[in-house]
Order: sequence, then structure tokens, then C-alpha cells
Amino acid sequence: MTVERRTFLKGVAAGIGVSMVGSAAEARTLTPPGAASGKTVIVAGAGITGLACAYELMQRGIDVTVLEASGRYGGHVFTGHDGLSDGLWADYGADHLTKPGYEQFFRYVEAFGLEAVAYPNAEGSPLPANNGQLKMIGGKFYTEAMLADPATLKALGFNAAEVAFLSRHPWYELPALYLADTIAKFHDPSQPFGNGCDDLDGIDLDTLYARLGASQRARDALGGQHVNALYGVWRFAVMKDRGIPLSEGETFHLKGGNEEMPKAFAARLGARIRLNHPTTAIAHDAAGVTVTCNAYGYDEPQTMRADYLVNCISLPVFRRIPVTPALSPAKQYVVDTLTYSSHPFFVFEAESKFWLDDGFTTLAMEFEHPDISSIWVVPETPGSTRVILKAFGPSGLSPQRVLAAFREVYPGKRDTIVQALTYDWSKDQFAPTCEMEPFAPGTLRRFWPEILKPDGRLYFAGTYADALSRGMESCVRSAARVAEEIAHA
Amino acid sequence: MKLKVVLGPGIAALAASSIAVLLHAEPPAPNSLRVDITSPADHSRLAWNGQGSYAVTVSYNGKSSKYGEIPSSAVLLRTTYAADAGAPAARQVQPIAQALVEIGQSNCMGCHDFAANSAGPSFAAIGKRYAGNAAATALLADHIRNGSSGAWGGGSMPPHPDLSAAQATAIAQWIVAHGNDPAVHYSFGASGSFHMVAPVSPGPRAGLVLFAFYTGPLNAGDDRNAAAGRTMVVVQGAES
Repeated sequence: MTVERRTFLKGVAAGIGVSMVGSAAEARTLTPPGAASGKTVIVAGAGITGLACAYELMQRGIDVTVLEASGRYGGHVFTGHDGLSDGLWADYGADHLTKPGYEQFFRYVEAFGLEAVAYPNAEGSPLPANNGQLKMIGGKFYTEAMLADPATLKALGFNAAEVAFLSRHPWYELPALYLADTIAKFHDPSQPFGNGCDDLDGIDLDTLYARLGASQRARDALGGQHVNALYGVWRFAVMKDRGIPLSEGETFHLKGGNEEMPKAFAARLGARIRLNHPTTAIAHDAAGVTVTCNAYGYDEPQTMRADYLVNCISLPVFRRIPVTPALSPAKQYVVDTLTYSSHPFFVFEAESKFWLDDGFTTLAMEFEHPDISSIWVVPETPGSTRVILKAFGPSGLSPQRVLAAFREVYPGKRDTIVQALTYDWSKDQFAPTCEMEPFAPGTLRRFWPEILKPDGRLYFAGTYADALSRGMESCVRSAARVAEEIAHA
Repeated sequence: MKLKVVLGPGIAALAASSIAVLLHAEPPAPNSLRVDITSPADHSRLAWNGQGSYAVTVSYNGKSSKYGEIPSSAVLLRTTYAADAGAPAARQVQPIAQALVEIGQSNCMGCHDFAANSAGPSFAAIGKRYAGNAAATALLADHIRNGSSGAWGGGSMPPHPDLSAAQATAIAQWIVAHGNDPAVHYSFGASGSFHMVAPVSPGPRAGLVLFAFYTGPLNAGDDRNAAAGRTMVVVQGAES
């Protein structure tokens, strides 16, 4: 890598454009920058990361092949149509994009002529504010206005400083009350260490809030147990550096479903993608990599040789593939210890906007029921009067059970839901995981910056391999970063 | 792809003869359970601390894992360290714990792995935390059946009302007693990898015994520990 490491890391955090999209490169077909290099790269995994990385490599004139274990590309970005009427669809994996916060992703949206559609209150987003959201606390529903009322806040158990703050600010800004000074210390948000907060690696964020005087009620609202405090504060610092507000920004999805993005990449990559070609072994040496894979339905393994391999398979699935020689102990720690989240969306199809009849302006509600924690409305599809709702509930439950829970807690009279569906990611062999979970206390030094580093000629990209792990944006950012590293290697 | 699978001349002859036996054996009834480890080869050799690939095919009731009729997730590979992997004793069948069958048939492996984190903590980490804790089995069985959150991180464990109290208890007991056993490792899936790891400094005769099992539903009277086929292979350790 010819980019000096510190400069490079700064670029990673600041989101300095390393991608070749949206420039003349998209239209240009000849003499891309890497053409003379003759480099060959195998990308393992055709999820959003692998596709973006292969696209970026292709744009640099690098010969790339994508090996995908399953019979479809897109991985955890999955738009499903089955079981829904009128051509309706639902995103069962990646749910939404944000503005700001998805700058790299939106470059592709523009370059590929895709359309982003406003998706208010997506996945519990607090924006737009005062849109009719309801939050259940102690069995009672509260509007945002009620949650800004000092008497209500006091009764809920917030301390005086918190009551004063929350009567002037929305709840999602509460971290700022306690962490603004610590966040301000991050003069170099490209990395967690060296900003005068290194000792926070040893405690969790909840402990930090407690030290700073947060009430138990505020700590319950803030979360932060088991979340590495240094990681938590650094994350806010990177968000601030990138201009992402504490609301996480306004929410959107792609017209036709978020899988339009994997489809757009795949259309450009063409035959470079090999579906149903699971990688079964990786061998690497100083000169290159040898990858063994199986073509669909054939027992005879194939081997391919390339200069580099980019692993874009989520780490719990990647570690089933033998690597020879073994990864360095530092890298193996990352591979074996990184924790992911995985949760299902429950999708309901309703015949009408039934909540309007009950006097609610929208259906954006948070519940306390063990089988359903929230519900929101997906933007309507032109040509259909039916509506898609999405709900959060624990994995392993049937959609009918989650619907029954909704009917227990919904404060209106009746609903017109006629279909309930889900996709159980926990049973997906190749894409079972969603995003990375925050690092545990005491572990950040072992993860950072190892998590970004290649091991010999094996490079790593994915939602975790960016200074700000945050949905599809960190996937495409890490993909572009690795493509740039390989182009300069 | 070089996995450093080196066959000595004597071992090659042995392997060849066992393949011959395999080929000339009486073909089992088409509906009976058959489990074959197709790779690695028996008596192959692999460096300690390296990783090897394995592949298993299972056929049962006229169905085959090869064609997706038996899900890959219903195949379990167990690797056991043996100080003298060439000795006949190492090749004796050790039945699979019923708890592992329950684990394979529920959705545990969607979030957990045996020795590494994924969405949930590894069985090894759980076994380590609760080792010697008499109340742990009941606590974990309750977490399995009714769900839990906050014990390991921000994630939460969903409830499993499909599992009976007895099944949940068996799983909990197994995790506490065997989840963190450094001499035995497991991997679900018809293909995957295994680590050449030894719990102690391995001697020249040490190796791993690989045993493959079918963990899916059985017909009454069938025994998953008595499958036909090459259910077991020995991989000798080599200097790394």
C-alpha cells in the first residue's frame, strides 16, 4: 500500500472519496487506471460488499471474479415479493438509507439512475419529528409532545438536568447531554486511540453515563450495557465528523426495493459473478492466492489463482473456510470474536390504512410486548391501495404470533391486515448475519486497526471494516477502500 | 490448492485397500442411513494448527444431502483429539450426544457456533463461564425456552417454545459439561473446515478422529450411531 497509513486512516473516517463511481469512469470503457497492472482479484461473497468491491476493482481495470455460495446475489440485501399482492414487495434485510450518512451509497444511486424514495419513520426513525409516533411506557402510550413535558419526564424518573434537557431536545439527543465534552476531545476521529480517552476502552458506555451523573431512567433509555465506552464515544465523534445528526438522518429506500442496488452492480459485473460457487478452501503465499470452489451440483472442485482475494463473506461464515497457512493470531482473533446482530423483520400486508379510521395520523409505534417491539409503515406502491407494514420482534417467532401480539397492543379498534410474513435469517446458510454488534469492553485495542488490515494477500471488507459500521454505507465504503488499496498495492 | 495432504506409501496402500473394501461391500438397503466422509482421506496427514476441509454425504430414506433432499445443516462432524490416532481404540464409535441432535434440529446454530462468536456467544464461552456452577443448567434451560437478554451483550436470545423442558435441559447440560472441551470440536454442515488443534503438546502418533453424524429426524428403530458408510476417518498430525 503506497498510501501512508495515517493519511489513509484519516481518509477512511472522513469518507474521502476513493470510489471510481460518479466520475467519468462510469461512462469510460477503455484504459482505466489499473489496466496496465494486469492484476487479478477473486472476491469471495456477492453481498452488497462483494458486488461493490468487484465493481470498484472493475472500474480500475482489474480482472475480477466474484464467487457466491448461494444461488442469488445480494446476501442480506433482499427484497421479497412472494406472498404479497399487487406486485408489492418488502425488504427483509437492509431496510433503509439515510441522508446524511449514505454519501458513498448515494453516489451509486445517482450513477446507476436509481431512485431513492422518502421512507419516513423507517425502522423506528424519529424523523420526521412529531409525525404521530407513539411510544408505550409502563403500559401507556406517549406522543413526542407528552415526552417533552417536564412533569411527565419527572414522573418517569429523569433527574433535574435531564428534565431540563429533554423538555428542549428530543430523546434521541440525550447522549449529547452527557458525552458532548468527551466527543469534543476527538481531534482525530479517524481512529479511537490517541484522543485522550483511551482509558474508556476498559468500561462500558452505561458505566460512563453513570459516572457522568445519568439517572437510572436515562441509562435505561440510553442503553450502553456491554458496549465498549471508547467505541461508543468514538462512534459519536465519527458521526459528528461526517455530519450525521443524533437522529441518524432522514430515511429513504430504493424504488422497487433495496435489492435494486445489488442488481445494478450485478448488471455491470455480468459474467464476472459466479453464483452457487461456494469457496471451500483458500491458500495464499507471497505471490498470490489459490481458491478452491465448487460449481453448482458438481463434486469435482475447481481451483482458481489470483493475485489477491477480498473476503466479503461475513466472518461467522468465512471462518468455516480453511485458510492455509492459517491467518495471523491477531487476524484470527478478529475473525473468531467479532459479534454480529441478526434479527428478522415481520411484514404485514393490510388492505387499507386502518389506523386513519382510529384517528392516528400514522402507524409508527413502540410497544413493550415481548413478541413485538415496534411497527411502522412502508411507503405505498403506485397502483396499489394495499399497504405494507413492518414490525420488529424476536427471531424464531412465526409471523402469525407477532401479528397476534400486535392485535393485543394496538390501541385502535380494528386492523385490515390479511397477510403476515417473515424471512428467518437464522436459518440462512450463507447470509445469517446483519450488522456488527458494538465491541465489548476491554477489546477495542485487539480489534482496531487490525479489523481493517489485510493478512498477506487476503483483504477484508464488510459492514465491520469501516471506521463507522453503519448499514450498507459501511459495506460500500469498505469495499471502495479495499479496491483502492489493491489498486495501489 | 495444496493442503499438504501427504500419503506415505504404506498409508496409501492402506487407504487404497479400505476404498476397495468400501467398493466391494454389500450395498446397504436403499432406505437405510448411510454417512460417508468423502474428504479428507483416512490416514491422511495434516500439519498441527492448520485447517483442513471436510465433505460428507448422507443418504437416508431414498434421499441424499448431495441433492439438497437432506439439508446440509443435518450433518455434524465431530473431531476428537487422540494421542495415538492409529490405535484401534481411537476408531471405536463414540455415540453422539442427544443434546447435539436437539441443537441441530432447533435453530441454535443460526446465532451460535461451537468455539467462536457469531450473533450469540460460543458454546465454549458459555461452558467456560458456567463451569462448576450448579445452578447453571436450570438457568440456561430457562434462557433457552423463554429467551433472555443482557447476559452477553446488546443482543437478545429469542424464546424457543418448540423445545420441551427436557430437551432444553439436555442442551444446557451439554453446553455446561462439554461446550468448552478442548479435545473435541464440532461443525455442522455437509462441508466445512476443521482445525488441527491439540489440547496438549501432540506426540508423533497423535491425530484427530473425525466422525460424521446425521442429526435429522429418524424412523422408529433406526440408530444414528450405527450408520453404514465411511462415518469415521483419522487424520494424523504432522509437524507444522
